[in-house]
Amino acid sequence: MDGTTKKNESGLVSGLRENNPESIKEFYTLHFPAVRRYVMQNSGTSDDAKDVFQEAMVVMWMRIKERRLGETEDFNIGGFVYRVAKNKWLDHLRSATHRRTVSTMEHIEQNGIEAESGSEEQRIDHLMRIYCKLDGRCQQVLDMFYYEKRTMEQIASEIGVDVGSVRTIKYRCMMKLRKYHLEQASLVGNVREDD
Amino acid sequence: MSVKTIEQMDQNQFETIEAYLSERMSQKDRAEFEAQLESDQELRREVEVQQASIMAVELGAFSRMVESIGSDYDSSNPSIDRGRKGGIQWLGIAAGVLLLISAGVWFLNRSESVPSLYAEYYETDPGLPVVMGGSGERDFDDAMVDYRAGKYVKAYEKWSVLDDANTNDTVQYFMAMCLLEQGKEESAVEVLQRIADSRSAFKVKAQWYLFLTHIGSNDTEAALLVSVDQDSVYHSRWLEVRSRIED
Repeated sequence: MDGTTKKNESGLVSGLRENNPESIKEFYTLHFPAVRRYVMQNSGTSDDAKDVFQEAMVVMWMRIKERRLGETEDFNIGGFVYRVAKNKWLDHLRSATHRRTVSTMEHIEQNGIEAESGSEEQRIDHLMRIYCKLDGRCQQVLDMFYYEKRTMEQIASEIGVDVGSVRTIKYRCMMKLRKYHLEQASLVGNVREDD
Repeated sequence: MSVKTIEQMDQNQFETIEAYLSERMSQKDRAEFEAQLESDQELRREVEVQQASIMAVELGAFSRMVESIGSDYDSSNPSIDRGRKGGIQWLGIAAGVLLLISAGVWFLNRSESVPSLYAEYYETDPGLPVVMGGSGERDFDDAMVDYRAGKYVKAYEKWSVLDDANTNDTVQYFMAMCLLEQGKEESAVEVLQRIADSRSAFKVKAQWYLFLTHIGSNDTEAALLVSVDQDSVYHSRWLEVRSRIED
């Protein structure tokens, strides 16, 4: 990898870690075409490609956030997302609907990314579920505070309340998330016990 | 601070944990809090739950942003999908729309960069079959099991112990594969080059991965210096990629 590419990749990683919209957009524009081409050459549509690419981006972003990815300077995050997306697409093709056509596929991979991603997908699914249970107001306030890293004052001015109210709204919304999280966790626990 | 039940989580407790997670605590408070964490299991659990809640918020917001970028991307590249699914639809469309198509085609060409060819052609080497209880080299097979399970760091460590003199080409080749899977292209290139220049049974594969790795590093000049031996599936792929680079 030459110096410029390295610098760009490492800049992208820190931009993604900081939720910088420009970095996210740059990554999408740079790496989506290869995934789209692969999916479309293997019985998929552009929308299918979009789905697997976006899911793969979420996996990448989460690993970057948790410092499980992109910690070394020469890491190729584009290649990583491509491989995750490709495995997701192959997994989709292996599903019941496509079982008949699977034998014609040139490669069905069973590699580490896929093997690791089962529990990771469940975790992402769980977190998305509890987030989606929040009402719009909660999502708005929590997004501004935790994702956009805005100050309480900025949020107060944006939604037209005082800082004290933002503090209370944020607390209440986070308590809702906590409740959903614990409910869901106990639900999963019960299912496992039944098994 | 002791947290016992869901109902007892008050606002101050919540904000203390938040200050800890967002690293806004003084050194002294942090030390005290961490000492408490050591002995209070409920508190540890609360910290984990709050961390998960914050991750849920960021994840939700990130997904929404990615979706919105995806929609913008689609609307700024209207020609890509339709062109592939049925070019005939475009016949007879007015000149204004043709301008959009040209923009789409330009964008498609522009974004098909050399590194994206790497992503398109790179495939994980599935490794060698391992017969459990077989008579092969036990330590090698043990590392191969890790490799095939995607535990590349572990496999690499085991193989490096097994071949500390760097003389076994099979071990060296799979160590290079472990490096590639970890995104450590620069280190992999060195090993691949050695195998590509040898008479190893892995020579052709090493040539192919070396070629691809240079492509991934956007070093077209180095890539074009690598040739992949004939009579192999990799040779035809190599020709295909070369012609796409040269186009």
